[in-house]
Amino acid sequence: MSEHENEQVLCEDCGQQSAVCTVAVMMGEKVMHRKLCQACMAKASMAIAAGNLGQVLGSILSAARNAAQSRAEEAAEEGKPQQAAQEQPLPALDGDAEACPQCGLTYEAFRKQRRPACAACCTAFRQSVKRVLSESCASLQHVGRRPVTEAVAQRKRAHLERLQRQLEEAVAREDYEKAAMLRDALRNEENRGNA
Amino acid sequence: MRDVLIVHSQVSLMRNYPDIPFDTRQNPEDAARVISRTRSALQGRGFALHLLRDMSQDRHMALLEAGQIPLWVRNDRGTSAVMLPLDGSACVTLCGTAHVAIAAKRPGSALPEAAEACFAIDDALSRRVSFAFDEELGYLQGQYGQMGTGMNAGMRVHLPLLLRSPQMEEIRKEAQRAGVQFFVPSAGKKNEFGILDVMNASALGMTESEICQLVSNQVQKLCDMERELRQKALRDAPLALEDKVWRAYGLLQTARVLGQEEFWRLWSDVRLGAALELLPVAVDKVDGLVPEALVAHLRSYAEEALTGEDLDACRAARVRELLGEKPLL
Ligand SMILES: [Zn+2]
Ligand SMILES: [Zn+2]
Repeated sequence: MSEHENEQVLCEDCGQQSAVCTVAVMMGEKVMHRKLCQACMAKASMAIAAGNLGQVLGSILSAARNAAQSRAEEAAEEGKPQQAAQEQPLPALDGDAEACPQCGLTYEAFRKQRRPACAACCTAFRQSVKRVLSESCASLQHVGRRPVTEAVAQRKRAHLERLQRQLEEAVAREDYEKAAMLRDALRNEENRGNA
Repeated sequence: MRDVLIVHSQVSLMRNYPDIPFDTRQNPEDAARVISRTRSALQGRGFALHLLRDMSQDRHMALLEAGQIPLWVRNDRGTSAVMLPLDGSACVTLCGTAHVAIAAKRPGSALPEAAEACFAIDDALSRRVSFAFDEELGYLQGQYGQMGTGMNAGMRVHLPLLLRSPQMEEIRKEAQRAGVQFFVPSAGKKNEFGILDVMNASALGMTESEICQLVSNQVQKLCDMERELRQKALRDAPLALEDKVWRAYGLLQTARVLGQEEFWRLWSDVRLGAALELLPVAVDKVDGLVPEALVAHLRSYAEEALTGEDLDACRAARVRELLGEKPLL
């Protein structure tokens, strides 16, 4: 709960984006850990391989300056306040739960960190999560792979629906022999699902 | 056919368990649950589990250099673990950006192949464990950029001429609008190595193959522009170009002390010469110098924690060896 409020870690280099990786940077014998955002991480990757902290800092700092500069320029161009898209504040409670039932993260804390702390947060704060996602995603409906068990269940649902449709059609055209067969098949399938 | 401008393709798939907080750094018990659950789900599939805290720093660094842990996957020495495949197919990082990050890297243009390698492990895992999944939001994540498919698809392209051109900023903005992001790895000075990493910016609302297609379409556009610039350079200043790549080749083949930054600069020029068939060396051989000439790989090769000039001398020797030193007549 309150320990979540400070959870969002900003990139130690650009100070703008949330840090997503901790990189180990070798300086002589020592390994330094730096928390970086995705962009700074990739910009620094080559220097990190070089194991030279000075280089890493130099490149990241200049990259950060460039990024901040180009953001400012872009904002000026479009007449928008800086970072408008990135950091639009989330509205006060809006159809979302007051707290995550699993981890206890409150909506207020979530609103500050803008980040779900566990899977249940994603559904408890669905409206807000979708609001953040809408800033970067074209569509808010997942397509693509699903867990194997999900996929199996979905295929099974589709199969049951097909049997049900065929049954209704058989009844409609008064083909009772076929209908009885389909009814048995349906019952078998459903029982198998409950077992 | 292999597109010589594309260095490698790398895919990661991120998955989380529904009942454990995304960030496992707060509570060692959470990390232990992620690790034991994943380990037993992958039992018998040829993975060796290593806790990063038990691994030497050089070994850890070598995993990063080789891209077995993608640079965009957070990994903490305190809590993270890696599951290394015996067959080299795909590596699993635990307790980092996500509970489970499956990642595969392949040379050249091979996003679908890298993705397939990740899918095979994802399928194996999801038969034994449940990942947090939502009909609408897909695979649930602590990071918005991965929400949905959980997939990051990245390609590393060698575009030394294009990256120096003034149109680059416009190209970047256009790519951003199309949904991909650019990263320019460098070690200080601007675009010195001519390398660009291209990756999808979001993972929701597109299938995995659409994501791969998006990235590779953008990469193709960039490659076409680079090829045009190369043809122009060959037409306008063939001698300057030939001189530049041969000089770099000569240095890599003969240097006795080779710093990492210099290595990358020369590597880029030699790769350009190899791709244009100006040099008698194959692009694959040039690509093979990375990660062998990087710090942790050199230390592992030398079986010694080399630093400073010793390290640079070892790098020079290793590069000469891999490139096949030409005896000086
Ligand atoms: Zn940053
Ligand atoms: Zn939660």
